Amino acid sequence: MAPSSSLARLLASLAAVGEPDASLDWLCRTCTGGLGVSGVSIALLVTGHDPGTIAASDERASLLVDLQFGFGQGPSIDAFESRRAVLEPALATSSRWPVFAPEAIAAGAAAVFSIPLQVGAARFGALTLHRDRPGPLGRGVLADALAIAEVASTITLCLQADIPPGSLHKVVEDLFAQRTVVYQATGMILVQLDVSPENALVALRGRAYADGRPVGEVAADVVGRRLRFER
Amino acid sequence: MAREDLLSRTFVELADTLVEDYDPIEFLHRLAESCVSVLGMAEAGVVLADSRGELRALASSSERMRLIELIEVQRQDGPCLDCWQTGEVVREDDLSAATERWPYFAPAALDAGFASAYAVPMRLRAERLGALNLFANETGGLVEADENVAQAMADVATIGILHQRFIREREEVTEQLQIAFNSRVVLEQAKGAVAEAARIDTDDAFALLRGFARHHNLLLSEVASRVVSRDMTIKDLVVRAGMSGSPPR
Repeated sequence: MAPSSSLARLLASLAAVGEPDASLDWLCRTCTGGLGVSGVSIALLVTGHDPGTIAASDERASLLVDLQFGFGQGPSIDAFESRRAVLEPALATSSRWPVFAPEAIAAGAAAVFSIPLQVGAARFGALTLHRDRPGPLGRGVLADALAIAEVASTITLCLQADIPPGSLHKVVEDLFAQRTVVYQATGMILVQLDVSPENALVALRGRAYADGRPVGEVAADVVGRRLRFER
Repeated sequence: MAREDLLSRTFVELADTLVEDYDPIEFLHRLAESCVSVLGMAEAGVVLADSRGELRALASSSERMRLIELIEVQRQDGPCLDCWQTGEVVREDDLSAATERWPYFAPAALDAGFASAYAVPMRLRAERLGALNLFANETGGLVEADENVAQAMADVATIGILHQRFIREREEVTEQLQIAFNSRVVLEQAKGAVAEAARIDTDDAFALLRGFARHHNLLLSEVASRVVSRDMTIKDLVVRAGMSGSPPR
C-alpha cells in the first residue's frame, strides 16, 4: 500500500523534529490535520484490555483512551485483539460498544478508527483516530493511517530499544506511574474476592461505572482502605 | 516473453514475497532461480555472512552449486569470498585460467562442469551482507551488459534480508517492552494482594516480597507472579518471610 505524497512530506518533517521523546506527540498532532480527523492517539496495550495513552494530539484523544481503559471496551482493544483496523464511522448508530460509545459521544467523538501497532507476530498497542462528525475516512486516508501506524510503531520501539532491557522508556514509565494505584487496587481486590487479576479489574471497573466515577479514583479508595469488595 | 518483461515480472514477484511473515530462505531460493532464468546462468546461489562474520551458503539453485559454494566457504577461497571482502563485483570468464587465483575453488568448479564464475556484492552502503554467486557452463557466461541486471537482483536480495532482520529486531524489542511492563504490573498487583492479606501498607508489602525472594533465592518477579496467580498463598509468604528453608511449592 503506497503512502501518499502528503505522507512522504510528513515523514520528512518528522525526521526534522529530532527530539525522539517529543516525536510521538508531534506525530499525533500533525496527523490530525493531515488525515482530516479531529484527533489522534497512540495507546500501549500490554495485556490486550488495558489501553494507556503514550501520546495524543489533544485532551479528548487521550480521554477516549482512558474511557476504553475504564470500561474495558472500545476500538483500540478490538484492533489489538483482531490484529486488524477497526473502523466505526457512526458511533451513534453502532451497538458495538454499549458502554464506551455513549461516553465517547458525550466526549465529542462521532466516529472512531483504530489500527493495531504490530511488528511481525508481536503487537503492543493501537493508533486511534477520531472525528467530531460521522462518516468514513476520506479517500486514501486509511492507507496513510496504516503507514502512520507503522511509523508510530517504529518510533515507539526505537525509544524502547535505546534503554536497557527490563526498564521502561519515560513515555511508558509515565503511563505506568498513573496506573500504579489501579494495579495495586486490583491486587487487593483479588484477595478480597478471591478471583483472578483479570476479574478483579472487571470488578473495579464495574464499581467505577456503577458509581459514575473514574477507575483511578475508585482504585485510590480501595488502596486507601475506604472501599472494600465483598464476596 | 521479452527480456525486460521477464525481468520486471521477476522483480514484482520477489517484492510480493516480502510480506510480513515471509520465509527468507524460500525468498532467496526464488531469487537464485530467477537469476538462472533471467541471466541465462547455469546456477546461482546466495552466500551470507552470519553475526560472527562467517560466510554461509544459504540458497542455491541446485545441489551441484551448493557443493561448490560449501568448498568456497570452507576453504575461504573463491569469487564470493573475494566479493564479500572487497564489496566489488568479481568476474572470472575462464575458470581454467584461474587455478592460481583460487587453488581450491577453481579445480572443484571445473570438475563440476562450470567454465566461468561471477560474484555480485550484496550490500547497503557500508554494510556488507554477502554475495550473489553466478556460475555458467561456458566461458564468458555473464556478458558485461548483464552485470547491472545481476547487481539489481543482488540489491533485491539485500532489501529482502534487511527487511527481515529489521522485523526480527523490532519483535525482540516489543517482547522486551511487554515483559518489562508486565512484570511491573504484576509486582504492583502483588503489593496490593500482600498488603490486603497481611493488613499492612504497600511499602511494607513490597519489603516483605523482596525479603522473601532474597531468602529463598527467587526472582522478585517470580514471587510476585506466584502471589498474583494464587500459586502461592499469601499466608505462606507472610509466615515464611525472613525464615530459612525451602520455598513453598
